[in-house]
Amino acid sequence: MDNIQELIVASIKKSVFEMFQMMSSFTVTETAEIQLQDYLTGCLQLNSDNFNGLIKIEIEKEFAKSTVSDMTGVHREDLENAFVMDGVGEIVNMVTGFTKSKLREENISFDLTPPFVIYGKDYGIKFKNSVRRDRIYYSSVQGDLAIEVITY
Amino acid sequence: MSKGFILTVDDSEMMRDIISNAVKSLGYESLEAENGKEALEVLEANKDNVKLIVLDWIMPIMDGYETLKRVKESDEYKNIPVIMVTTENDQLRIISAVKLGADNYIVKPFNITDLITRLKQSLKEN
Repeated sequence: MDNIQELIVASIKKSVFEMFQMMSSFTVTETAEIQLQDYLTGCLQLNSDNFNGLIKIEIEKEFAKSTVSDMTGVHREDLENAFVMDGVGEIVNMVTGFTKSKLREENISFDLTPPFVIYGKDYGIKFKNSVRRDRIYYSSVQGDLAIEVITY
Repeated sequence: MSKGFILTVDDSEMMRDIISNAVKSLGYESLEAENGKEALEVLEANKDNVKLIVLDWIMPIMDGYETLKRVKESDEYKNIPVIMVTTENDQLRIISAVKLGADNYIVKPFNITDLITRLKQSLKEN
């Protein structure tokens, strides 16, 4: 299980860089722990016979708006909340899909659920059993984001 | 003057926007649908003018594979080229789509230049 977690984390790191490089003009840099301000959470579950998991991408709302605006060409002030949330869902979908493709080369396969996005204040996701979790932080000129890889 | 319509089928509004921008940059008009069922309705209403379909794989209600199957089984639509869009670079999945008649595919995330190249290839434009 530890090995699977490590492989997923390594692959997710590559996927995040790839996603921003391919789809936007922004550059993100892995950084030490940071406190995110006013963020949206995009989640997607991983299911397999051997393990289950969750990928969470927390992205500051202003950064999410900048990213969606950059990708689509829609001006920031014209972006509706639902459109930004849809964009965050698609970002977690692309990052995790890319990770899944990479891990198939390591003979690790799993199914993905459709993404869902949460926005609000003072919320968290709790698990009734013990889980393995790793958190990776990224910063950019436009804002910050964090990714959490959880397996159980 | 419009060169015709390109139909983008994706449940993500953001992805439909990104693909539509590329479509318009080539001088085509953009039609959009959120799933395969809606795509078939849009095709029915615009049957003579759709030059290409850009079809996401995973969608609710009717997914891309089933939509591709129905398009290629139809005498009216079977000659419309289809580009499959997928987040998973799964060779078996891509081969199955090509066997069913998909003209091309693109894996997300992609850059716009690559998308425009695939659109031009499928439209037989240089």
